[in-house]
Formats: sequence, C-alpha cells, structure tokens
Amino acid sequence: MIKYLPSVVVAAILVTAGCQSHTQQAHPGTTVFTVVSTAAPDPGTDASRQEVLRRFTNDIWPAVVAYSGEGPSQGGPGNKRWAAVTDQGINTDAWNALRDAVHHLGVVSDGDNTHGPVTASDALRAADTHVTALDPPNATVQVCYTYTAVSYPSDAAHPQYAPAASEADFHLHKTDNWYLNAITNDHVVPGCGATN
Amino acid sequence: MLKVFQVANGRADTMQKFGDDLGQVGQNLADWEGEAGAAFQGSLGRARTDIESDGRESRQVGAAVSDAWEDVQITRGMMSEVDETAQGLGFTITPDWKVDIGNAGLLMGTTEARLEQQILQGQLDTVKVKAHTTDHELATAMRAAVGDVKLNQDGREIPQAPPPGDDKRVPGPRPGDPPYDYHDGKQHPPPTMIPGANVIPLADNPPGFPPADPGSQRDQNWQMYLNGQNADGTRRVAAGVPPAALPNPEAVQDKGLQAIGAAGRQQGISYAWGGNQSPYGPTKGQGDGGGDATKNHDENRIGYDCGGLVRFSMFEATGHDAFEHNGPSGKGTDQLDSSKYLTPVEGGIPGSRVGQFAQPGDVLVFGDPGHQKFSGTDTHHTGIYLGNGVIINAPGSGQAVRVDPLSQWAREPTDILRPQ
Repeated sequence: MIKYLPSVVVAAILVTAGCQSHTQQAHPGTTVFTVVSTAAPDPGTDASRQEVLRRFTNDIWPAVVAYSGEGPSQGGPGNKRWAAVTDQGINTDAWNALRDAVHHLGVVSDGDNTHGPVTASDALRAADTHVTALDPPNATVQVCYTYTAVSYPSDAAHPQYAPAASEADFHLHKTDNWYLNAITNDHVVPGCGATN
Repeated sequence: MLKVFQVANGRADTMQKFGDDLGQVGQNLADWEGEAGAAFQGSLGRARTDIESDGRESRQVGAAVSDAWEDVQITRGMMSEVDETAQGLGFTITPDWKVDIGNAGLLMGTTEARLEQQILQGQLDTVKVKAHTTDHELATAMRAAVGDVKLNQDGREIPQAPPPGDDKRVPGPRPGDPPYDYHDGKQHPPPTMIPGANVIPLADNPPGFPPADPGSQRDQNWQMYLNGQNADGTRRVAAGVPPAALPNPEAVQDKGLQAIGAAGRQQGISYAWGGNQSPYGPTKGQGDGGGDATKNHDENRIGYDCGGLVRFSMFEATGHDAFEHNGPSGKGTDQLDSSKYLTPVEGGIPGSRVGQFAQPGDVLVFGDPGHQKFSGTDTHHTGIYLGNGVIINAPGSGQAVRVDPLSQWAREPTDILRPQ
C-alpha cells in the first residue's frame, strides 16, 4: 500500500491554499516538508489527561520507539520493553496486528513491484501529543512524529534521506495501569506544527 | 582447493597402490572441504563394498579415481598459471575466487588494471568450474567405494531415478528434502506451515537471463539478477523490490547462492521461538513468558527462529555449523556474530548502508543499541542478504519465513558476515 511519496506530498503542499511553505536543505538533494499544525483540544479532566499523557510519554512511547527501531524481530530489548507496556488481555490476532503496526510506524511508502519502500532511518521523535478521547478504562492518544526517511532511487548502495512526519492514534486500556492495545490511522502528514 | 588437491594426491596414490580402506587415508583430512570433504567424512570407517564384492567394482572405482586425479593435476596447472599471472601484475586471488587489483592500478593505470582484472577473472572462473567438477569426481569415487553410488565400466556415475514426486524445482518443503528429511538419519515431524504465506518460487536460471549451464556464468547471472540488474548490466528494478525468483540450491555453486536457495525453500514455514536447535532443519519452539512466543503458542510449533533459519541455510551451503563461535556463549544471533565459519566483512554500520558492502548470501546480524561489531554480544536478529536491499528471514512469532525489504532494519547497527 502506498501512502504518500515525498514528492507527492511536496506537490500537494504547494497547491494547498492557506499553507505556508518553505524549504530547507537537511541532506544534499532532499527537500523538507511544509509545516502544518496538527494541534487538537484534549478531552477529559486535566488530572486524568495528565495521568494518560504521563504514562504514554514516560513509558509507552519510548518502548514503541525502541521496538520500532529494531525492525521485525523478537527477543531484543525493544521487543521486551514493548511487551511490558502492551495490554496482555488482547487476543493473538490483535497482539500481532499491534506488533505489525509498531513496525509500520515511520513507513512513508511500502513499495510495490516497481518502487522500493521509503522508511524511517532514525529514531521516531514525538512532536505533538494529545489525548483525543478519554473514557476510562479506554483512551486515545494522537501523536504527530517526525523522522528521517531513507529511499534508494538508484540502487541499494546509494541511500537518500529526507525529513518526514506522520501521525497515528494510539489506543490505551487501563487495568492496573494504562497499556497499549492498538495503533490505528497511521499516515504521513506534511509536518508537525511548529516543531518540524 | 589446494588442500583438497594435496589430499587427493595422497589418496589417489593410496588407492592405486594398495586399494586400501578409506580410514587409512588419515585423520589429517578432518579439515578437508568441499563435496569431496563431505564424502570423505561420510565414508570414513565404512566397509569398502567395492573390494568385498567380486573385484569388478574396485576396477570401476580405480577408474574414477584415476580420472579425478588427472583432473586434479590439470586444475592445479590451470590455477598455477592464473596465480603466476596475478602475481606478475601485482594482483591477488582472494579465497572466494575473486581477482583483487589492490594498489596495482596506481602503477599501471586504473583502466588497464580493470581490463587485466576482467581477463584474469574470466580465466579464474574457468578454473573454478574445473575445480568444482574435480571435487565432484573425487566425491563420487569415495561414495562409490562404500556403495553409496554406482559406477559404470568407465568409472562414471550411474544416475539414480529420483523418488516419485521429488521435483527439485517445486518451492517450499517437500518429501525427500529438508525439513521433512533433515539428512541426519532420524525421523522428524513435519514443520508448522503458515497458510497463505507469500512464497517466491525457485528456479535454475534467473528470469530474463539466457539459460546457462551450472557454473560460474549461471552464478554470475544470479548475482546480477539478485542485485537488481538486467543481463546487460542496466537496472532491472528499484532497490528494496523483492526478486521474482530465487535460485534452486542444487542449480548453483556459489555458497552464498546455495544458502539463499536453502533458505528460499523454507519459505512458508512458521517462526518458532527457540527453533534453532539443529543445523539440519526446523525444531520445536517454546514460550517466552508472556511475549510474542507465548501469545502465538510457539511451544506447539515446529519451525525456525531467526538464527535457526540462518544456521540451517549455512549448513546446507557449506557443511559447517555456523553456530560454532569464538565469542562468549549466548543466543543464536550472538553465536553467528562471532561464528568460526563466517568471515566478517563490515560491521557496526546502520542497516541503511548495508547495500554498500554486502553481496548475495551474506549473513546480516542486527545489534542492540551500543552493540560492538562482531563481538558476539548484544544482538537480536539475523537474516540472509539477497542483494538489492532485500533479505530473507524468520521475522517473528506467527509469521512465516519470508523475504523483506532491508529498509525495515535501517536503524539497526548491522554486522555483515560471509560464508566460507
């Protein structure tokens, strides 16, 4: 499944009214995406929101980043950290789907029989984090994150890098604490507010 | 190969003079490599059926050994010529049959050095094919001596009819081949398969290339194809796009390509946590205390973990157990990272840069943050590089042995090792 290629995203930004656009060179031959704010109001009481955000920011997101960085694999430190913050009550299919979703974070394009994939080449960085739904024991945290995508337009020996951003919904469930049980709506965005 | 030839020299003399037992060739042949080495190990200590029969078989084996020894001498002569030419040019011949120009280009000019390299590489490829043929002849002679192979009056092998349904070109496991028969003489239950798993078919020759006979040309075609090139050297496909076919392990001679073929035939077999207990094939998995393996009931699966797949594939290709290692005792990926039978190529680089250094058939070992290259510690995943930014691996519980784009491990500190 192709989501957005960087060139497509850049072209879309340039023709979209109301968007400020600028470019900067991060790596030779690459273009930075335009900044677009993804800020949204947070529901729930301030105390409960802070509890969800604290758990997500301190434990869940770092574990997701660690396991995402390991790629499809098992038994590494990131895999163990991720398992420790994952809802043990979900069934096997949901568990495997969540694992696949973690490894799909930072994927700009899956590639196909003609084009190679475009994926994150460095650690994912959370730029904007908001609680978008809170109905205990369930909560949803929306995260806009940035990374440097790598592609191979000529051959495997010549990687090219470009800044990129994506946004995803992280669904949490509370038992003795808040745990991750799904990731949905992961998609490429032009940028993450003023932090891009 | 020189070691093999020296051994063959002594062996041929022994057989012709004494017609004696294989065991008397001597324990100093323990390191004998290649098909002939495997045949020697498999024949050692077994009764000589050719001598115990009516004597006719011994003459046939003698003819086979005579032919093999003649080819040993021819091959040694060919190799000496190539070696002398290389030395005269200031080039070196690497253990993996490559002509390395080193710094010679500084003296004679890069263009001229490249041209000489191409010419010499062609001659070396011819020697390599002849060496493989000779190796097979030696192996055949030894197998015939213990009754594993039948020979005709001229000492040539009489082909045996394959068992019914044994089609080497059918991808995936099938009767008569690993993993159903692990070649260890024991009975094993079939592996757990993942229904609907994507399987890339195996072929003798790469798609889009002119069919070539087994040998260096076919191997070179496969390496070009797997590296994403057409027969004319132009780009066939973008990096990260999986190939449409993988080599049949029996159809290629390069060890890396054979390892790819062996792994390719395991596509569709389930991952099993801890499924690395044998170099001969998939083994029973186990739980992991609440993680992926427990969720997917790996204790009820027979398959491979990531290290198990690489261990099996390298064993099929080289005859060596790549889990034998120099580093501290650790899990399978750690053992591969310091394997006695894998040569370090480049280490500690991000996965995104592997394509600059790796060639088809290389083992990739992915490390944890802070991993020290080739230390045999702090590693967590492994796979076999197919070329063009693609690997074959056993990724995780509930998933099948499959081909994946290497970019998924772009952030990993990666060690590249080559089968010997």
